[in-house]
Amino acid sequence: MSDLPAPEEASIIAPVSAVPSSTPDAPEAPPHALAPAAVGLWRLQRFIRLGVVVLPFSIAAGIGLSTVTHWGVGAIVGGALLLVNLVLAIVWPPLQYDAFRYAVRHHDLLVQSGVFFRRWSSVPLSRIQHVDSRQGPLERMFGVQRVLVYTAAGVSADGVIPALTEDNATALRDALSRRGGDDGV
Amino acid sequence: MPCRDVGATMASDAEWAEDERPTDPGELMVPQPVPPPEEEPPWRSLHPLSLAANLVPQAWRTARAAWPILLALFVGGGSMGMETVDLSLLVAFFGMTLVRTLTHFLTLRYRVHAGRFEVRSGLLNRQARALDPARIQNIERVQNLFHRAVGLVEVRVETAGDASTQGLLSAVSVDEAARLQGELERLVRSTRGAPEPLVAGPDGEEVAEQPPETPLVEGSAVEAIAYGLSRRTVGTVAVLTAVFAEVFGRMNPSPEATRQVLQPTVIGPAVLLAFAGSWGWSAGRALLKHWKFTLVKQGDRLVNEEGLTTRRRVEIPVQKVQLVRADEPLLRRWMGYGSVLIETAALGFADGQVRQAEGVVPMVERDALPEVVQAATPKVTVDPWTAELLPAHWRALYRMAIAGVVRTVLFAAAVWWFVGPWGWLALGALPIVAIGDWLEWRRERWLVTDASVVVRRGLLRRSTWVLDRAKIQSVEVVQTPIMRWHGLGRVVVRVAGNAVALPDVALDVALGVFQDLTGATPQPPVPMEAA
Repeated sequence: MSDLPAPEEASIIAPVSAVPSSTPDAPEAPPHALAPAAVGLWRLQRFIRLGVVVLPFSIAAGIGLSTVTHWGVGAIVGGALLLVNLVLAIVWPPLQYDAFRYAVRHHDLLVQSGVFFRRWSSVPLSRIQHVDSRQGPLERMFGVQRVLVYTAAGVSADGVIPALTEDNATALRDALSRRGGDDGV
Repeated sequence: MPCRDVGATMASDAEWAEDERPTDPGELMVPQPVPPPEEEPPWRSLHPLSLAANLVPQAWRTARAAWPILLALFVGGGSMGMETVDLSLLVAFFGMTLVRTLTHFLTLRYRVHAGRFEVRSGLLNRQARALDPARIQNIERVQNLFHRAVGLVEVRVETAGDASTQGLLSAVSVDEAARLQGELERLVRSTRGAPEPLVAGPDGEEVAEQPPETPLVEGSAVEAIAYGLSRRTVGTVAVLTAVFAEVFGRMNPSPEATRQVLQPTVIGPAVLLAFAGSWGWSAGRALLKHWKFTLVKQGDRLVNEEGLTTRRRVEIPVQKVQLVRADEPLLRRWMGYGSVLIETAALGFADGQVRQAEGVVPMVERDALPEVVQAATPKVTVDPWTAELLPAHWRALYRMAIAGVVRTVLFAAAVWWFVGPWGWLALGALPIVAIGDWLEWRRERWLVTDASVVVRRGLLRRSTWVLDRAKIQSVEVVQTPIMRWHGLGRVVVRVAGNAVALPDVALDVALGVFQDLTGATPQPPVPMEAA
């Protein structure tokens, strides 16, 4: 590999000296938010999950623990599980809504998400294979749609914009699917 | 469009080219000469011996589809009158296999037509596929023992994003495979605007001229065995130990027998035997799979060939390479070797699992690693083994140390649960874990240049990932709560079919890398009506 440039000739975008020790602020958030109805939708979804999954599980866990320990332990653990999920169902959706922002820039789709686990992702428009908009029964009830962005990188890498008004979803889908170019595959 | 004299004979529909039909009824057009339609090439079929070559794979497929019936057959026992049922089921099973094999041979047809590779098959469920050559990731020729005995070869044409092989010709003659492969490669090149010149082939047909070959790696049987010996065998030993414990437990041994078996003089040799068996198994498998492995650069493609019983030849267009990974486990490093895995976007399905690496070069001398990696990623202009790679942030060590302590405490708690208070002695591993974390952290390195992304990590199993920036599908920065607490961020770069995470760095550095990889300068949002 003698024809390779010397290491120092390679353009390094973040040299060692650039690594700071201070804690920086988060970058400026992308401008577009989801439909405000997302909060209600997510709350409803969480309450349904609470009734269908968490409640039976909490009761089962409480009874199970009561049989092997004191009945009070089972009641506390089962009750705590229910209470935590109830609080999350009320408090979490607005936080989730505030944390989610997106923008379609000239060259990419930029998405910021996550309350505790923050994530900034960029999908170059030329890499988008196809765009899909979906609407389940609950989403239909709230008048919102999901937009799913597929690239060749696989399912886990796809971008999902979870709750947009129908007009916004259509506009976003059209804006994303009209771009062409080298898909890198 | 020129006008036509009134009164002239009207042309029939067939004489008009599609885009030259008059749109105005009052306007009569002079028909332009339409080029004669291209003569359609005939559909080609598989070699008749594919019937024999396909019998075993088809039987396996049928067995997998009908496994509940077969399971019931084998464990159900043979009560009175059941023999007839069993016999009927067996006849139905073999009959189904034969019918599938026959149908496959009689209905599978393929050809290269109108610049596309077309395959059709099926009797009741008919399937027709037309593969755009631009989508072809790699072409693979596989010969198992039967294929080699009768001079046949299996051709696999793989495209991106599908675990099943799109174009699978299970048995064609070697000459036909070479002809087809040449034709497909010529098509692939023509999509890039640089078809290779035609030369006369062995049968007088015109075939693409093959560019000269540059051998990169030629492996010996000894190197294949060394590769097997240097693979991780702890997992196999653990499985063997678990099987032994289960079998021994089921034998319901007396306390005296248990005490005798648990003697160090018995356990020690048994463990050594398990390791020796595991190494032997691994070496044997490596010998069969990687026998006489070679990697050759031929024009703008890499040709990887290997295998003793089943000879596999993979041709990978260099422009389809998504990611290259060089593995240097400790033992292999001591031997002076590393391994190179070349990944495309195709997800092959082999040996019951998804195979991502299309080209595997098991043993490459460490001095030759940069050359092999550069052959697979020619646009990458940095040598990962000599370039000064950047370290992870020092707070990443702190984070790793906390994670290591938590892991060790949980492990000690689990040991305590099973063996009692002495289990807390497992906490004695904490200093070792701490030193291991420090060494791991020291070896975490990364570099982003104008053309490439390089990541290296691992102490015992060192791996180096190299990818061409032009192949990036998406980029993201992730920050867990603990990372936020420490002001860290992690850049994850995704290519088709895989992803590489850079070591943890300061958040602003991570965001700088993110900015650089996703666009040179920040752009204002595209105005959207509804946004």
